[in-house]
Amino acid sequence: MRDSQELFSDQLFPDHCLGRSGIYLPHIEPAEAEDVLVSCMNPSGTNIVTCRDPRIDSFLREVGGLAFDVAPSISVLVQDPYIPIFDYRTIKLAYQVKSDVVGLTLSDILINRLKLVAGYYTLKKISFREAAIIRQLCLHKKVVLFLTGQDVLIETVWHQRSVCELFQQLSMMGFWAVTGFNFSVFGGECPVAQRLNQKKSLVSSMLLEENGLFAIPHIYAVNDFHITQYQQWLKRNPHIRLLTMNCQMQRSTEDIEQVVRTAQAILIINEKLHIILQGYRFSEVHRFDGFLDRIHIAESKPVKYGQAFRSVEPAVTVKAGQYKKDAYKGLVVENIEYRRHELRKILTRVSK
Amino acid sequence: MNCPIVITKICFMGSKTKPDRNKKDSVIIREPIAQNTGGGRARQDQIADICEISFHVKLKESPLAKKDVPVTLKKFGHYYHILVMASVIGRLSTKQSEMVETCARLGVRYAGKIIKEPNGMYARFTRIIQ
Repeated sequence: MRDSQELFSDQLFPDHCLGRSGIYLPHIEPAEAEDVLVSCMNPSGTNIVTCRDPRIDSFLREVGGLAFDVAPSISVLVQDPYIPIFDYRTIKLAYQVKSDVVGLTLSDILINRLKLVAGYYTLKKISFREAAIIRQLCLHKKVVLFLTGQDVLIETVWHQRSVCELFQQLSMMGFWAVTGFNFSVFGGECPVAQRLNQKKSLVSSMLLEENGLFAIPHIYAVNDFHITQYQQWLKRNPHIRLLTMNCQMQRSTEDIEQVVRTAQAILIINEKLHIILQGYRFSEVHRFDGFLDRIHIAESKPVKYGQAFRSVEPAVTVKAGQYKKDAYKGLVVENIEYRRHELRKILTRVSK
Repeated sequence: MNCPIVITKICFMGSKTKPDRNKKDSVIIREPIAQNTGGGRARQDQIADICEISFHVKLKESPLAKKDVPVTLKKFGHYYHILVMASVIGRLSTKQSEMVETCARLGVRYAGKIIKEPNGMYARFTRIIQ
């Protein structure tokens, strides 16, 4: 029951986070509301659903409340520390690399990808690529689909998942495993929105599994409350051996430290647990000393560099016009092998 | 044939410790399809369906059509005209005019400013939800 002081405070500060009153306990601690930097008043429902959104109950019903009470029942395992992520243009080059496990991302399986229209990303229609080409690769490699991308892409596909028959499409493509959706979790925003997106991601893993796909849960924590909740979830689900975390935006020291703090805190819980860090910088791998045999890095850098006729080897400089049109193919493969070798060197050096 | 170096755009996405979202990556979160229990569609969902987040319109050549100048919309007859101060420098299409009209009833207005593109000057309008 909210006391009169809280109700009075609500009237004085109508944009205060409702989480501060404790109505979302035990999933959201009132203290989390103290970290809110962006008003919870988000009348347009842009990018997140906050505590003040009149539709909040619908969203909570969709995911069965805020409790971390769902988890896939089967977990896949990976051995190779390095997972190259290809895109649709370079998919056939995946046959040429030594990696047993390779990645694709959500936008690579769609025909009409995001377009920048009048300054904003837009997704007009969800239509999937022909399954045969992806299925062919899946017969030769273990292909992980990373459900990462811009909010416009992720949220639209999630909302339309039944209409566009997402899970059936993924099954037809034959992926070895699919990660949970990477719904955005930003520090300083409404803790209800953060928690809802974390829960949505776990639910997406469960739905993947219900549709016959191996799921790799995606996690992201921006504070110690979140870390504790994930730890408790892992304790309740000790069969989970593999998680993933999208680190593509983590470039500041603070962000990187948060990734490391989260990953270490969850790896401590279960010594058989591994984590795939998507887009994590090699220069920061040393921070995982003590956990290096359980860290995997997935990245698209060598593919993107190769397509831009660039080498990932710092010593190699490429001049404009040096390469012929098709030369990117060789560069992509060279870049991947170089990065795989680099990561092995770093892991060996740090663990000595 | 030699190929020039193409710089591939890398778009980052995901989560962060600070609330600094990419402004270009803006989406109205729509109510779950199976969860709406007949109370009518929420305003946010109607806006997401009807009101484009942004659009642009090519402008007539005019000394007033300068980069970054704010523009306003005013309805004359069936169409919304694009004005700089009191001078008309362009016009929305029928479809765009209808959208602006409908969206105004949903509490949405469009803020406009002039941008320069390689093939001329455009007015870019961005959705503002009140």
